[in-house]
Parts: sequence; structure tokens; C-alpha cells
Amino acid sequence: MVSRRSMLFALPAAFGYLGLRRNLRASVAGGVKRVAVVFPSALEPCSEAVEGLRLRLSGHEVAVDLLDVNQATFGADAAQEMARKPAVTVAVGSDAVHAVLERSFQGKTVSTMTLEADRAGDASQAGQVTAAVYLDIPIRTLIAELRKLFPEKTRVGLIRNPGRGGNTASQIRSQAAEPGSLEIADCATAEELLPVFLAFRKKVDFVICLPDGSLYNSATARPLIMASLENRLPLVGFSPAFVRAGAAVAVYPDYRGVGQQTADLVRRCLEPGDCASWETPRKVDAAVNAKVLRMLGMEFKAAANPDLVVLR
Amino acid sequence: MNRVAKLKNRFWASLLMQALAATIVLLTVSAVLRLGVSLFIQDRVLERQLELRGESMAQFLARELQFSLLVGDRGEMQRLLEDSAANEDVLFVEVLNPAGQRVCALARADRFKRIPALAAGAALGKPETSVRYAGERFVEIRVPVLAPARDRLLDWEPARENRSTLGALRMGISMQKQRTFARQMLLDGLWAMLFGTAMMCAAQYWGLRRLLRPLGTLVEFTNLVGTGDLRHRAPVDRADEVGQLAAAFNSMVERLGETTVSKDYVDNVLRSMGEALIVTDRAGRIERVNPRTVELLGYAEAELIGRPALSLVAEGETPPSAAGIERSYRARDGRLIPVWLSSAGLRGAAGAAEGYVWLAQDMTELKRTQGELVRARDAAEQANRAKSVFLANMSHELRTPLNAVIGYSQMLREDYIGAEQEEVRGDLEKIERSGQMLLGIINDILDLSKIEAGRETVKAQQFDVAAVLQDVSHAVQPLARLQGDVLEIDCPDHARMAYADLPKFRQSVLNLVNNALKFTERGRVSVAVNKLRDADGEWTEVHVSDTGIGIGRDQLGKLFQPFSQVDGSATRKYDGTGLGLAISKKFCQMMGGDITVESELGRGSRFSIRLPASGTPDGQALAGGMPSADAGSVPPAAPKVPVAASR
Repeated sequence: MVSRRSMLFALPAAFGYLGLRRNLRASVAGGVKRVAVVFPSALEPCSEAVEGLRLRLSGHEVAVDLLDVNQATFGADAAQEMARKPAVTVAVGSDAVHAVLERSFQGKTVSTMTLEADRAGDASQAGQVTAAVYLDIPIRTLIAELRKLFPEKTRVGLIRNPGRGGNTASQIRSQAAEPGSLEIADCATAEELLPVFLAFRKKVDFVICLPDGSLYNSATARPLIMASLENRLPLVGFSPAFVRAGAAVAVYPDYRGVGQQTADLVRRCLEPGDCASWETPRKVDAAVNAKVLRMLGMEFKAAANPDLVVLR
Repeated sequence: MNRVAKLKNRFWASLLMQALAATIVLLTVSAVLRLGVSLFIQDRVLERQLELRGESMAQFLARELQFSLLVGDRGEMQRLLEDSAANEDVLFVEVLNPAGQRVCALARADRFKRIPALAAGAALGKPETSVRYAGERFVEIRVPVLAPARDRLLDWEPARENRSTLGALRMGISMQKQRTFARQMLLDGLWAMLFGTAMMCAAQYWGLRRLLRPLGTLVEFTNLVGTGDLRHRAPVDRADEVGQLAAAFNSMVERLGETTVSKDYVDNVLRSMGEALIVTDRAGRIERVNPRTVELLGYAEAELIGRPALSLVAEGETPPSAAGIERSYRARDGRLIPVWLSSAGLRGAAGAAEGYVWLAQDMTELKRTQGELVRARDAAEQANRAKSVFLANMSHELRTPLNAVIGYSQMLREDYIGAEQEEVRGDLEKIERSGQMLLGIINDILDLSKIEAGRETVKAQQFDVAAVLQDVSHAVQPLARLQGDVLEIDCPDHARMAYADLPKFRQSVLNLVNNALKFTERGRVSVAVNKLRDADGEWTEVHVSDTGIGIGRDQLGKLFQPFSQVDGSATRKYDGTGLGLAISKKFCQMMGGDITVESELGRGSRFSIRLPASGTPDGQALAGGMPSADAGSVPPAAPKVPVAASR
């Protein structure tokens, strides 16, 4: 189901796609470089990122070809695009990454709007993706955002899934500005989730849940949130959806910013030479569930973050 | 059995009962059908509602179980199952792993002892609902418990459709409430049906009774009409079809009364008949008799019905149709009864033969009377003949001394000459005249006696009528003079010759002329002769007309009877024995002719002698008759002179 918000981003992207294609015919002959952007229009965050990407690339001698994986004609469009031999192919989201890697686009491949753990778990991406902008927020950034909203709450717990790879506990701890205030617990399966979560009781002020679909889903979220409320242990989620489901607060990437960041990466890749780069979001957003916070007896500083999304 | 048959007869004889029975049957069948269909539909609806409710409950419980099944939390699972079992309709719940093995289960022990085994081949990956029976009818719902979707929280990740199955949930929902509800509905429906049927029957009974009561009256009325009583009329107190029917009946009965003879009337006619009536069928078997037949033959009516009618006829012959014939009926006691029997075919309205009608008139009394009459006639004839013989003999014996009396009185009158003897001569003349009168009477009686005794014969001869009339004129001249009458004789030449017994002719004409003069005073007596021819031959007619006192119409019939005059007073006024016309008529009849009379009281009479001109009407000569020697000598026509006569 395509939401109204996704339509707000998808429609300009589609118009831009049509306009770019028109410009492309006029300017490709004059040495304009072609960039293929493969994205799922049905996903609002991805459409938002594509919009940021497109806007950042406009004004440069770059022809952006948008290919929607949700379109029925995607196969034919992709074949046609491959024939044009784009210099850079941008895959937005995990489905787009799979679609691009399946077709072996020529030129450089940049992935965006994916998790680093997904790349680590997918061996096929290892040698094919030239550069990427991940959605993983560095722990330092995350804690800093929390500190801005809740200055008094300094103790942070983190649940890590060792099965997904990524940074080790020590690596994470080393990234933290104040490693002493960070508690890390491993949880490999959903069965362990509640016990692991409850183990943080009275030890930390927050429990950070890193993006992981196998641990945090519709089945586990509710008991986890219930446990959070019962034990007055706030959950720090990774998406506005998590906040809507009952997490006290969520820190998540600014998707448009991710798109712009990806555009910068694409421009670098359009230049000769190596452009391999593995980046994390430069800009993050935060959302709080005011109702949950009230239930937990917590207050937040709204003035600290003018872009803060407050759900009441 | 007899009672059942009576009830059955009563049922089939009553339209009301039949209609009520039909209504009850139709209403009951209709209500049962409607109730059955309604209950069936209601049962299906309730069952479907139960299924939907159960599916909803199971789906909800499956979602609830998702996490505990995912994390293997049996305690949580058990708690959830117990929560679901709080619903009293839930008989059992069972959680299965993907291999179909029980992970956790709960059964309502008070009502459901054991959870029924999973049906063989049941797929766990898709929802399924079925109605089963294991001690109690229940709906079994089976829904899969799917692995949670990832898309809820990772809003940049697409939804995954192909989720893995964590297990399955089986839930048994009792249909007990549904059964109870359906039973209650059935009971309510039955009561409603009974009430409705009773109400409808009552309404039907009322309506039918209102409709049929006038029909009952019509039936009674029709029965009365059937008995022949056409006086009654059906009451017409409604304007509907029944009222119209009653009016039509009345109209029909009125027309029937106008056009049809009622049975009573026919019975009365038959009862009143003096003749014996027998009606048979086409085979001749008696179908009906009237009381006179029963009375005549001595049989009971029942004995006669069905019996061959021919067995009653002694002659054993079928009576001829229509025309009567004399036959004999054989009575019950063997007596033969003479009857005048006639027969006719009995035909229906369409003209088809339906039998015969015999009509017999008892002739027993007639026969007896007839025999007596014959005997009386024979005796009278014999006495008459004896009288005639006696009179003839006595007349002869009377005439002899009377001739002596007349002769001696004439002789004495010649001896007494002189004036002094005038008184004696007058006395002698009276004696002679009385003797002559007595002799005339005796001669007349003698003639009549001879005629009646068959001793008078006719001796025909040809003679001149004019001469005869001349003689008659001379003979009656003194009387005509005495009466002051004018006698006219008209005898044309073509009619002068006649062939008859001359003395009898002369006497007949003389009698008529004498009578005409006797009963006419200062009038006119005319004698006219005529000859004419008709189909029977040639006739000589002599008409004697007068302008005298005439004869009344009532007297004309006995005018020619012996010793008869028009009345007693006349006898005294006018002389005569009253034998003249009788003798003249006998004479004319003996000559093959006759005398007729036309008269009107106070205006005179006209006597006509009609004789065959040649002796007999067909031209043959009369027996003993011979043509006279002086035939053809015709005297001149007689002059018109006044004469006198007696009647």
C-alpha cells in the first residue's frame, strides 16, 4: 500500500524522472554522464532518499535514469537502461540492491538505504558494490542524540545480535564517547529477547534496539514494549514506526539526507579513480512518543532538537 | 368399524368438514414446510455465524500466540488458551507445531472429555473450518500461526509475503447454544403454527359456515321441490353469489311450476283414473301401476312391479298399439276380467322409446249390462211381434162386426125416410160416421201392425203421379173447403211418371195433404212434384207445403213416432190417431225412400216424400213390383182447389 506521504515524494521523483530522460536525450551526446537509480517507489523512505539524490545531482552534467522496481515494466526498463551503459548505478534499498546485482549493470554500483549487516550477510554484494551509504547510525551519534533529549539519562544499554555480523561489542564500545556508560548484551534469537531486555533492568536508562528484523518485528515488539512499560525501561527504537508501536524514542537517519549523501558519493564515483567508500548517515532525525514517556515518567527537551517529531 | 364408517360417511357428506380438513392439512403442511425451511436457513445462518465468530476468535488467538510460539513460551501459551477457554462456547483449543504435534492444549473437561484427533491429511498452513461430531456437535476451526512480519518496524524494508509457519491452532466451538436456540425456535414456531392454524381454522369455519348455512337451506328447499311441492321459496337474504343462487333456484322453481306437472298432480290423475294403467319398461316388465290396477287384479303393487305385463293377459298376446281391443286380464284369484285394452309406446323427451303404457277399461259391468240389454231386446222384439200378430188378428176380428155395424146403420138410415124419422136418421148417421172413424183407426193400426210384423209387402208399379194427386185432391176437397184453405198442385210433365207401390204412395201423399189442410186455416197448401238425379240415382220428390201452425223444433224429433201428435191439446182440437205420419214414413222407407220435414212454429211446414224414380235408389226394381198397363197415360194437371185433411 502506497501511503500519501510516499506519494508526495514519489510523484516529484516520477516527474523528475521524466524530465531527466528528456534532458538526457538532448545532452548525453554532449558528454553528460548517465546515472541509473533503481528504487522501490512503494517505500516512502526510499522515495524520499531518491528525491534528495535527484535534487543534489541536478545542475551537474549527470543524466539520472530512474528505474522503479515496483513497476511491472522494470525488467524491460532495466534491460534498456543496461544497453545505455550508465556510468553509475545507484541501488536504493535492499530489493533494489538485489535487482541490480542480479542484472550486472556495467559501471560502478552504489548502494544506499541498507544496513551494513545486510551487506555483511550477503556475500554477493562483497565484490560488486563499489560504495555504499548505510543506514546504521554510529553509536556515538545515537547516544549524542539521546543526550540532547534526555540530558540526565546517561546509562545506555544495547542489544546486539551477534548472528548478523557487523561491529563487535568491543568495537561498538570503542566508538562510544563514554564507553563506561554503555552496556552491551548479545541476543541471537527472539526467544532470548525478553530475558536479555529484562536483564537491563535497573542498570541502564535506555535500551537501544539496533535495526534487526529477526529480533524486532510485529510479534516481538508488543511483548517487548509491554515489558518496557512494566519495567519502566525505555526502548530506543530505530524508526518512527517503532515509536508509533510503543518505543519511547527513536533515532533514525534523515532519509533525504541519505539521498543527498548518496548523490555526493555518486559524483565522486563519476570521477575517474577509486571511489570505494562505506558511509553512515551524516544527519539523523529523532522521534519521541510523548504518551509512552509520560507513562514512564520521563520528560524530554523538545527545544534541543528543532526537527524532533513528537507523537502525542 | 361401523362407527368409523359412519364418521367417514359424515365426513364425505359434509362440505364444511372436508373444507376444514383440507384447510388444516394445507395450513399444517405449509406451516411445517415454512418452519422447516426457516429452521434450516436459521440453522445454516447460526452455523455460519458461529464459524465466523470462531474464525475470528481463532485468528485473534493465533496472533496472540505468535510471540509465545515463536519464543516457545508454553506458560504464556497455556495462559492464552485458558483465556480463550473462558468463553463457554469453546470446547477445546490446541496448539500444534509445524509437524502437527501438540505443543499445548486445553479441553473443557466438564463437557468435552477428549480432544478429537486432527483429521488425517489436514493442512496446517491454511485456515479451515468444519463441523464435526464427537459426543457433541461442534465447529472445528484450524488456523495457522505465521511467523511475524518484519515490515512493521523497519519501515524502509518491504513487506515479506511468504512468511513461515510457526504452527497451527485448533479450536472447537460448541454448537450447544445453537442447538438450544434452534430447539427453542422450533418450539416457538410450533406454538405459532398451532395458534395460526387454529385461528385460520376458526376463521375458515366461521366463513364456511356462513357460506354453507344458506346452502343447507337451499338443500332443504331443493328436497321439498323434489317431492313435488313447488309452493316453497328459498330465502334470499344476501346479495352475494349464494343469494344469487337462491334467487336463481326460486326463479327455476317458478318456471318449473309453470311448465311442469307436479308429481302430486300426476299421482292424483293416476289415482283418479277409472281405467287400470300399467307402465312397463322396454322389456315389458311392469314399472308402475295405478291404484285401479291393484284393485282390479287383486295384487299388491309390489307384486306387480317387475313382473312381465304379458303374464296378466289371459290371451298371452301383446296388445295392439293405440287401437283398443277386447282382452281378458287374469286376476290374482284366477278370475278372468274382460277389459278393453289399448297400448301405446312410452317415449321420453328426446323421443326415445322407454317402454309401454297399457290402459285397460273393466268391461265386466258393461258385458253384464250388454247381455241384459240383448235379452231385453230379444224379449221386446218377441213381445212386439206377438202384439203385432195379436193386433193384426184382432183388427180383422174387429173389422168384421164393425162392417156389420156400419152396413146395418146404412141400411136402417135408408129405411127411415120422412121428416118424422129425421131424428133417427141423424142418430144412425152418427153411428155410421163413428163406425167409419173407428174403421179408419183400426185400418191404420192394422197397417202399422202389419208393417211391424213384417207382413206388409211392397208391390211396385209405374203410375201417373198427376192422377194420384187428382184423386187425393178430390178426397180432401171437403176438408179444404171446411178449413177455407186453397190447395195448389203442381206436377210438371217430366215428373209425372213414378215407379212405386201405388196404394202406399197414394196413402202417404193423402196423409201429408190431409195433415196440411187439417193444421191450416184459411191458408194455402201446395203440392209440388219434382224429379232429380244425384250420385245415388234418380229420385221423385213430392213436397207438401202449408202456411199453417207449424211445428216447434223440439217436437220435430217425435213427429214420426206412432201414436204421437205435437201435443196433447192438439189431440183434442184436431182429430187423428197420430199413426198417419208413422205409417207414411214406414211406407216410404219400405219403398226405398223417406219422408223429411222442415217447419217453423207459426210459419207453416214443408213435408217431402223422396222415392227412387225407378223403384230402388240404384235403379233396380222393387221386389214384386211390375210396370202398370196404363203407363204413359198422364192425366191433366190437377186444378188448385181447397181441400181438408188431418195430421
